[in-house]
Amino acid sequence: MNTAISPENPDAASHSDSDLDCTAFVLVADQLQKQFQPSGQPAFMALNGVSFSVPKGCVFCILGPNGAGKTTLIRILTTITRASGGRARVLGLDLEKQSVAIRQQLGVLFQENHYNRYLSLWQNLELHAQLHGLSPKQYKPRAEALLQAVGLYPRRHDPIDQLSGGMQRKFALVRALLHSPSLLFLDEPTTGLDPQARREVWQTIETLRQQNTTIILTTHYLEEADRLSDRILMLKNGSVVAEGTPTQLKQAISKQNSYRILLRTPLATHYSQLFAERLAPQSDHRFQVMDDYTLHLHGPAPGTFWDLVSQVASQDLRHAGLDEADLEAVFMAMAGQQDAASFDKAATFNALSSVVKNASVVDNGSARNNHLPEAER
Amino acid sequence: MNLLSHPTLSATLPKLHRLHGLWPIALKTLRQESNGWPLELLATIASPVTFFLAFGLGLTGYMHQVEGHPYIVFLLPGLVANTVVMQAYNVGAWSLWLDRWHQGMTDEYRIKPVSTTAIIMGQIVGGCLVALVKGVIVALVLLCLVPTHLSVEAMVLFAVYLLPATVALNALGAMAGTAFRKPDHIAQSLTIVITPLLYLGGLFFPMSSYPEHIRPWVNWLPTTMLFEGSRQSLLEGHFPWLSFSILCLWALLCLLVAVRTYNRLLSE
Repeated sequence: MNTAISPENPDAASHSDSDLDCTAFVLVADQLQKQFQPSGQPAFMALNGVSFSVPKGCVFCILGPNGAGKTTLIRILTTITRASGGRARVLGLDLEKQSVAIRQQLGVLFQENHYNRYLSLWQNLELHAQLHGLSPKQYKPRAEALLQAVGLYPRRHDPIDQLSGGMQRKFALVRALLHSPSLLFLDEPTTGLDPQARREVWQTIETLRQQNTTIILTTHYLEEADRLSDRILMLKNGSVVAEGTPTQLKQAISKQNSYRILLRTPLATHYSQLFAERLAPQSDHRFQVMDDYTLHLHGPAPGTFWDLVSQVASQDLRHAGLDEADLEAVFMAMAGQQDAASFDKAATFNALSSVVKNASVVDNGSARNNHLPEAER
Repeated sequence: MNLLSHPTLSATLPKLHRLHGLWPIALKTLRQESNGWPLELLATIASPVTFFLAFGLGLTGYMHQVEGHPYIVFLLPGLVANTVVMQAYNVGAWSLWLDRWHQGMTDEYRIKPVSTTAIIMGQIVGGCLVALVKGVIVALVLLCLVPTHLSVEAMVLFAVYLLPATVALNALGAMAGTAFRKPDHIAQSLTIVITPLLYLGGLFFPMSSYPEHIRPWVNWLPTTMLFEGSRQSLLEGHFPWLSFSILCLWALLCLLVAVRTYNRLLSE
């Protein structure tokens, strides 16, 4: 009997010996491992039991610092590299045994631009379409429409080398979409693009999501991940350290009862002393002067906090409110965890509770820095 | 008994299906060569025409007749054969090297619904087609310069005779292009292995010129069979079946090793 996997029960797949259930998920990875053995060097694990599932029609983002294993994971899931252990089902097909059938439905935009530089744009598209078994009748209208959409149609007979970096990236996206893939891998799709082109790619991703195309995205731009992703997987040292929606991740990292006061005047020290006098008997209330204009408070109940704010002269106050973590704070917190292996068995949601615990024992400092180990602060 | 239900055939047919993608990749190689055709054409004919002028015209005063033919005519099959196999090696090596190490196209092929065997076979078929087309061009240019008459039948025999050596050298080149990460290594393999093979094989002189004790050794070089057989088929209209069969075995061996090497290196 198949074991159902749901966001509420993400570990279910890990312990099942039966086939992975893929009915609700486009991709289910179970304990994927990859060991590399460079010649003359000790073996190292690039992926260390990675499990996750990607719901159909969502934008699923994989984040992690350099060397976290993102590219290795993408290469395994796109059937280029063979996993050393674990298993996965992509689009309901077995990754190991049905790789050719999987590739029929995959679109991939690599981190680097991979083209035949001796062929024109159109010839590159033709080669791509022919390898997917498309007839000219099938691919020509779509290729023309896609090229027109990104403004490259007039240049379709030019060699690729004559295009700018941004144009080459747009062309790579056109090629990845040419055969109407069911699952699209975008490995840093907007790297090297100007802000306008980046927004155009974002718009394209939004449109594809509306068309129910599932997208697996890696990016270094946290704003991009925050804006586009339905779910985020965070990797570190080849292990999953967190998974959830952007909101869940931010809530997990945000400390309860943390506040920030921004001042118009450089009186942060003055007000910190004022608050200290008022809060002195209550030792669990902490505050920190970030700079002359910024004050962080941790511990007071909302009522107490607003009482303190009322002590600030209105001409001095610019803003007061909850100190919410952004995705960058989540990323920094995850990237800074010293012992990622400890998250091994507690993948996905279990990892979040660990992060929350770690966050709660650190005093003072900004939301971003509080979760870093001492040595990295 | 239904022919398709024969165990050997039924085992082979699915494998043939795995060669989907071979032709697009082969045609890609032809296209990328033809896109830069003026320079390619010049580069292709420069070397054989230079040899022809230097040796054919320069040595004519010393070497009037070789094996019953004017020396300038004696050179013709060897120069064409040399062009074809050198181009086969070069196109095989550089095309694979560019795709794997420079352009990243190997990864691009591998996310398509094609097998790695189809990819390498497509590269080899494309490389052989390019080499043969270039051989035809060189033959036409040299025929304009050499005062001789050759029958169509002899030219067809000659073209057929060149096929296995073309496949063998292209497969060797493909192996080099897949395995060597640095382009210098491809150039070095050409200098250390391919060039001696070609020049020891009697490109510019007959085997009878070698001392007796060396002849048995060089006679077994595949390139000796290539050049000797080329002259027999083109100039005498005689098809050397034994040499052709041995060259076919060489081609098959190189092809199998190239496919195996490619599959092994890409599965790592």
